[in-house]
Amino acid sequence: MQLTKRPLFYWIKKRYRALQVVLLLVIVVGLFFRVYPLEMQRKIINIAINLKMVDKLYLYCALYMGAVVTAGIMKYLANVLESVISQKILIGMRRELYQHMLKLPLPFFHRTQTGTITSAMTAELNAIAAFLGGALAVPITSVLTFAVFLGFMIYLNPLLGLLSMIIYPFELTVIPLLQRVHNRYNQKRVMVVRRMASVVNEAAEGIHEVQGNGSFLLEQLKLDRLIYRLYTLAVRLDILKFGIKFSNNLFQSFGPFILFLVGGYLAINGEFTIGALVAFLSAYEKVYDPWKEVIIYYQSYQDAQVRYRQIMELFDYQPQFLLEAPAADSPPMKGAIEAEAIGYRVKESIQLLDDINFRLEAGQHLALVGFSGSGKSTLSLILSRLYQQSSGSLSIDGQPIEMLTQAEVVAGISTMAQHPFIFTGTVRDNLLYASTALHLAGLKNELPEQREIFETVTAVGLAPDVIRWGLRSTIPPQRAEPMIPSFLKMRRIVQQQLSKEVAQAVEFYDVNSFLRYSPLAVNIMFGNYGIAHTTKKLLTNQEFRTFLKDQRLEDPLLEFGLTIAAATVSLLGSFSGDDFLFKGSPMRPDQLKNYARITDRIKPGDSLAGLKQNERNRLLLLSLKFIPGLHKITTLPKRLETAIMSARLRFLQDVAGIDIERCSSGLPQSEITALAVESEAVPAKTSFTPFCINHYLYSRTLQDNIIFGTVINRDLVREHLSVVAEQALRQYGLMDDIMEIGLDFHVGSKGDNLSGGQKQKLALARALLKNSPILILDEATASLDNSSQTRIQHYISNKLRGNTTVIAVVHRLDMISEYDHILVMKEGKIVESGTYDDLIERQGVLYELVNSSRE
Amino acid sequence: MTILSNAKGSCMNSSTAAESENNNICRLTSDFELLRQSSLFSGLHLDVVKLFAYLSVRRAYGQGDRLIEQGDQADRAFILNDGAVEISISHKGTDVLLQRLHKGDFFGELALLAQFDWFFSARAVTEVQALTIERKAFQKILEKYPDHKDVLIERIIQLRVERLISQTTFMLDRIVLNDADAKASLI
Repeated sequence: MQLTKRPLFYWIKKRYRALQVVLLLVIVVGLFFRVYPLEMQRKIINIAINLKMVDKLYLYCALYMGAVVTAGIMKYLANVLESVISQKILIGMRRELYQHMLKLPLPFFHRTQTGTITSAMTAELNAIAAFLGGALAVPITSVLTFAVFLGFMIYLNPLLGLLSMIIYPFELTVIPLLQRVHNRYNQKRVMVVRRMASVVNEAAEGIHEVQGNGSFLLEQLKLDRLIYRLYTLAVRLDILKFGIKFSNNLFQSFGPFILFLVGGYLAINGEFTIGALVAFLSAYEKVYDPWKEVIIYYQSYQDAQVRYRQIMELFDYQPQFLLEAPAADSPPMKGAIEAEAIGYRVKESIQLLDDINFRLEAGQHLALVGFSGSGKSTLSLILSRLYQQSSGSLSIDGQPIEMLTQAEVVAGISTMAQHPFIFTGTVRDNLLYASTALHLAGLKNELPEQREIFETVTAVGLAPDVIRWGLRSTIPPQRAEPMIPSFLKMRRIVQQQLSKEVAQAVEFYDVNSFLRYSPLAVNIMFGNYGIAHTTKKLLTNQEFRTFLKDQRLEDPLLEFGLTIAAATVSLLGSFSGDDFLFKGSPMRPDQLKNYARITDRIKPGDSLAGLKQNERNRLLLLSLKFIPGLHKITTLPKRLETAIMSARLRFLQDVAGIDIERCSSGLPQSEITALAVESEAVPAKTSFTPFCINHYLYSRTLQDNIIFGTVINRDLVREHLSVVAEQALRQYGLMDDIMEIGLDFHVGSKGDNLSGGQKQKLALARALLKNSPILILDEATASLDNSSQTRIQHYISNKLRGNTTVIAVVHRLDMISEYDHILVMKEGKIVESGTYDDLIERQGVLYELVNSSRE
Repeated sequence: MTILSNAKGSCMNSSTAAESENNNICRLTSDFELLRQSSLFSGLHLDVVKLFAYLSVRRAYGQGDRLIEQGDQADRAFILNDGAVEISISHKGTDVLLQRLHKGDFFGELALLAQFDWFFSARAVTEVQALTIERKAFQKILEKYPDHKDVLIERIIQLRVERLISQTTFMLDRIVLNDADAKASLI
């Protein structure tokens, strides 16, 4: 049955039946132990107390307590089971619904707001889940319980038992009535919440427009309407809900009223024992429990039903992409394509494509050329089967495309869209996206090997970027370890060959110069603490604190910290909470209040005596984190700089025990007594590492390590470093390792960390790695510079011709001579078709186009 | 004005006359002065200029270094503080020189308004000091001072038009004066 047509109970009836039976059993057993104490109550009063039998009293009390505890445990078990079942059902429901959604035709996504889809898939499904677990067990047991207690009451006194039931028929009519109104409002509420999600989503996605136009009020108005609508609905819903509760309670108190009236009368007349009356009262109260449960169940059933129907209606379309496996004996696709009188219309009247005919042998290359709006992209979408032609037929290897399974089509055709979508994740995730999809669907046995990935990455010209990403990564120690000797050798090479060229872009670690692009703490120690170490931790190091005091650095640093705090508070005081604006200060936006409290009391130049210990630490932290070259908020006094420089030498010699001469020349140190803050077991990775030429810095990027300095201007370093680094990497056989590391570079949300060109290269590599017999490219290289375009075109012409059928929408006419066949399109029709030489000779449209583009 | 005097105050504190001789002169003040006198920011509220000075980043380049590489993502504008820069476009494999810029000149100003990939390169012909302003900084500041938006956008467009005129003139001059073939083809 199509997913969206399934009733809600389909999920419950078909799933986890064994667990549901166990749940039912647990509830029934629990039920027994809930009735049993009532019988004990009667016996305690009528037998034990009345006949004054203490031993019986003990026995009945113990049995009473035991039953109550057991009932509690059963109830607990039932709750846990219910929740497990409901979550399990939810998993299945969400997975199947998501699969269904992914296969819906494109027009669904054009019509439906993303926010609506998101909220349906997430919050709304969650709300149903709570109901699912007990959907079968709860009503069954409630009715059972009700019957058992009622039976017990009738067994005690038939008249009284029936009398106490008198109110229930009333309730059975009134409550569903109220509930129906409640449902209607609830339905509306779901719609409003969805629309609200869409509005918020839209504003977040179009935030550039919103902020660019200052349309805050406009957007607010859009939301306001929904907020107030939601308010009215919520209040009405609650009025109804509490109304139901009220009427329920009212009916409920009729019970004891009748019991006391009639039961009391009977007891006075001696027709009814006191024990029986007590048991009766208890039973009556217990009858209320299942009743309450039935009501709650009924409400949540109605609620779930409303939500469920709305979700299913939203997604109620026939899925288009069904990946059924191809027949085992079907031959592998070769890639010959034949289009016969293909037409494409939208809205019945607008003809976007008309009478498109062509024939392409397997392995041939076809170029689609024409003015913008001529239908090239539409044709490429039809060929990649993302759109369906309105008329005409398309066949592959002589078979009409409709005869092929979707799986064959997906595996056989690789497409690169004009504006490719890059997924959040690593470069590797994106490169292997298509191959992994085929692999998971069982359509491809193996993922591309490293060699093939590297070759493709190189072919599209992405290799230099991948290497750069690799160099910019901080490599985890265990991965870096085997390569460290080579990295240190590369460091030497860079120092020798590049120090002049990158002088403007890098600040080298020179023990005799002040590091303007390193924090003051690093400047004092001339070294780094390892991974996950913070300046804050450094402040707790007694040895370091004593050193600052001894060197008379603490007070100047404190004063400077106060200057930074004052300047930051005054310039950015009204911008709290904006990370970007705080990049010129060592202060974090969330710390602003704390520092403002200090600078309110004590101004720069005041005595520091009034500072409390934690305030001193705060100011010291600010000062030690100050990076002179980056933090423009204030300027480092020359006096402090000089003091830091002389303290550095003392620190290296006295505290760290380093021979400065050996450190900068690279001769081995006799022994370094590191400041032990972290565990001693892995000293080099987590504890202090001085900037000595033969020390690898674990907390720095590979690039920093090779350059042995701080990169100030990435773009400039790139230019100079890439040649030298590539050569050295190759020389030491590290290229593959670095590329592997580079492939793990995170491309950001939707590829935000990539340039337009990088995105296009990545998408092209992704399409190539799919290794399909047919490749469709829609202006695949439009964002690239000319030389890259040419190189990629040569790769396609040389490597793919004969193996892969290529259909490319081409906008650069100087490269089309490399194609076997050219279609010139205009206004949705083919105006010329033939080989490049033929068409040029004919001096027709293509001839005109080529010549006009040359001018 | 309070922002200005305060920030200046903190700068004054730390840089006495003797100190300002070495490289620790207050950067915020000198960048502020540079921006205040530039064509883009002159006459704007000083608090705004101050914020731009605070968020701008100084960059130094050696002779021959590229400040802008055609095809890279455009995310910042440049103002030349010292030295000279050549603007060129790579066309069909050859670099075509378009303009030479000097101290005080702005370039890449469109990056403040929109996301795109650089359509030209900028190369340092001498040692160069430049101040760069990121688009994000521009956006953040205008979020706070939206009244300045119209003026700044207008000035950026004016800058762009000026650049377009001078680059076109430069190319036309070259075609008309130097290239006889081109001259022939124009007639």
